[in-house]
Amino acid sequence: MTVERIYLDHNATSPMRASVFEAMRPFLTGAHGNPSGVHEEGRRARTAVDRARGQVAALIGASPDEIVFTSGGTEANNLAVFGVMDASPAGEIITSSLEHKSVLDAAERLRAAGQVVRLLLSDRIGRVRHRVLPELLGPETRLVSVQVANNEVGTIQPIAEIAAMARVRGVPVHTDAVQAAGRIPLDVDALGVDLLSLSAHKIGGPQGVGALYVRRGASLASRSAGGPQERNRRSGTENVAGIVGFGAACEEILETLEIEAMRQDDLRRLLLDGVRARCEGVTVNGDPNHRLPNTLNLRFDGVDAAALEIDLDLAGVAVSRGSACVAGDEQGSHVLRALGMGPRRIRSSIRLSLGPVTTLDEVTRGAAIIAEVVAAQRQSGVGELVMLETLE
Amino acid sequence: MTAANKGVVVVAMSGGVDSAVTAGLLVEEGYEVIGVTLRLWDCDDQARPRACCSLEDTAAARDVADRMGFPFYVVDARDAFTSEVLRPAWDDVRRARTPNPCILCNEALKWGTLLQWAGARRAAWIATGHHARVRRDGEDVALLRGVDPGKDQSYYLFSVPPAALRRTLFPVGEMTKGEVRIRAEALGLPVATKPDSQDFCFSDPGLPMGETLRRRFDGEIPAGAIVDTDGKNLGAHPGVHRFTLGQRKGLGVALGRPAWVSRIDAETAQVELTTRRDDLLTQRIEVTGVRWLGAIPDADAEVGIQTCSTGRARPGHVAVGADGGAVITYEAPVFAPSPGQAAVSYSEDRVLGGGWITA
Repeated sequence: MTVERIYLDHNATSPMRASVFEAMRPFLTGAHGNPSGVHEEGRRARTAVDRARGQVAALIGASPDEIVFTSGGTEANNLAVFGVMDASPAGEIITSSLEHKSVLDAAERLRAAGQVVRLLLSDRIGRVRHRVLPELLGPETRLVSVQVANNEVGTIQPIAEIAAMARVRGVPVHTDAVQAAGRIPLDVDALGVDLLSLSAHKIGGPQGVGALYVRRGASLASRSAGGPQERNRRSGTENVAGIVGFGAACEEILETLEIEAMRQDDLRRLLLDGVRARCEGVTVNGDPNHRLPNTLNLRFDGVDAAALEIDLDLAGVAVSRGSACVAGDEQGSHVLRALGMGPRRIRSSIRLSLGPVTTLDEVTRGAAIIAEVVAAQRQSGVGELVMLETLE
Repeated sequence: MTAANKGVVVVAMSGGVDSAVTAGLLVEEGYEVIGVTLRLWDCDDQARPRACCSLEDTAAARDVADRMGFPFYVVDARDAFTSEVLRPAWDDVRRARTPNPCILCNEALKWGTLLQWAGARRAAWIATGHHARVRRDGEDVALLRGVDPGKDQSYYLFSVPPAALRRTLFPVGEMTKGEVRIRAEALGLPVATKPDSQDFCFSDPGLPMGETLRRRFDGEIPAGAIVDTDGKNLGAHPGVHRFTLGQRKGLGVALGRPAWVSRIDAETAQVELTTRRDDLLTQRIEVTGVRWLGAIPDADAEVGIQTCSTGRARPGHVAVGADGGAVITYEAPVFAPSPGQAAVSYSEDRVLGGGWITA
């Protein structure tokens, strides 16, 4: 008898929605076309891309002409950071220690090239300490980049406040919304941001496509030389099928966002309750209140998360220890480090993340299996490698 | 997951044919296989074309796992590799001894770290692609040569504890190399045409192992003099770590006649060469740290002694001393093995035990 696996790593990637595949199908099976073509095939592709552009814009309350399609969230983040900084005289960028590697590494490259990078730090539950921002903002500041919500612990950041502080000084604000999209409502005007990153595969669209929202009037230097696509902001023949899929995902999400967020929040609670009912020494990392509904980052005392990840995989449950983009990082998650967690606590933490296809049955069975595997590890003493830390 | 009737086995996979066929055979026999590649070295360095844990090898192993449908993981053993294999090897090299890192790696990493990891996964068995055989007989366990005499790797396994051998499967030890390749093709494994790996997994190509280690530990070894057997200076050398007893090539001096390294003195940094091959013969070697896999042989029992994996076993006798030491006396003079190497004694195909040569 084969038992269905339980997938709890939706923050890494989420299965493609059926409606997305159906929307993409014609473009994968014959309705080819380069949107730049004058002919019927080109027009067909152009129309499909334009329609998808509108669907993506609608998800965030933007205008279609403010959407630049990219190859994913990482490229969108890179385009935002380098695009703004390269379009301005040398200066400073302010970002946070919680950002995804694609933002932090881009900032690091800027620093290596002689620009100044200032980091807003995090408190113990993953909230950016933004009250110092007005002091950091100066005549040299060219960009502020802070994520809407964190991919590892799920904490939601006060973007509206941050953007307001920056706007007063005329500094553009970028926000990485890759993990927040589809889980909480997003509106670029309510947030007050000038740039915003999205990724399709996190919301049930295909991998390999994302978007950067760029407010009308914002200056952006393009990163790739070539054709005039995306209003000269991002060259290259459009990934028509991918973009169509992305649009379909956004449209489906918009219809169901609030209900789905509540459903996932309930399931997340049940997952946590289910684990806690069977396990002691379980702590939630991150903000217990202001958080993404689907993300649960748990620390298990006396357990080695690397071994836990493997044993859970062998038991049919997929989880992760943090961003896929930093897998293998010896020091462990930079996000958990930014929360002030020591190496031992980081080594005992795993991330569980739910998605639209997660069912009550999966969460119930998942909690039981997690508790079993944790107990087995604790009993065998393997987790003694990760000793209980004294109170910080 | 389907239940297997034979139990769970962790297969150490190098990306090569032998370990791939090992995994394939065990899957066919009904074991629940978990494939593992040990990460031993920092593989981020794209300039390293050939390393045991290279990304290509890991990808090859992962590909085999995917084709055969079993889980595959990379286990990070870099710290253990550094402390249990590289550092002791470096210490030996600095003292003008020639270490055998493969033996250390087997004992500490494969049958140490990996065996523990396997236990944590509730695996009853561990398997590798070594050409060797294990025979279990009640309480006893015997380690035998692999069936293919040209490929026998039992030499490298003498220090694996019997309790660990008891939990080990060596499927390809029952096959010749030719049979292994045929099996690989039959299993549809893409590694069938990969050549055998020859070097130490961590050696930089073109560099002696000692130099790779020196660079790894940022060590300093004084330059010294190359002398002949009368003490006459023949030239300079960059460090004793580049030489091994009996070495004929790469000496750095041209004498017009064949010459061999006859002595290396780490203290004085002197390397002595002889043109008389007979100077290198010996009939007696001393070993320490001896392990026995079964009963200790009597001093008058004739055993076969090997001081490298591919050499013929030479007949001799073992006299066990105190403190885990022994003296090996050969029937006939042999080319002197280098201190630091392992001397393994056999009774026909069976490994009796082994130790480390001191002199």
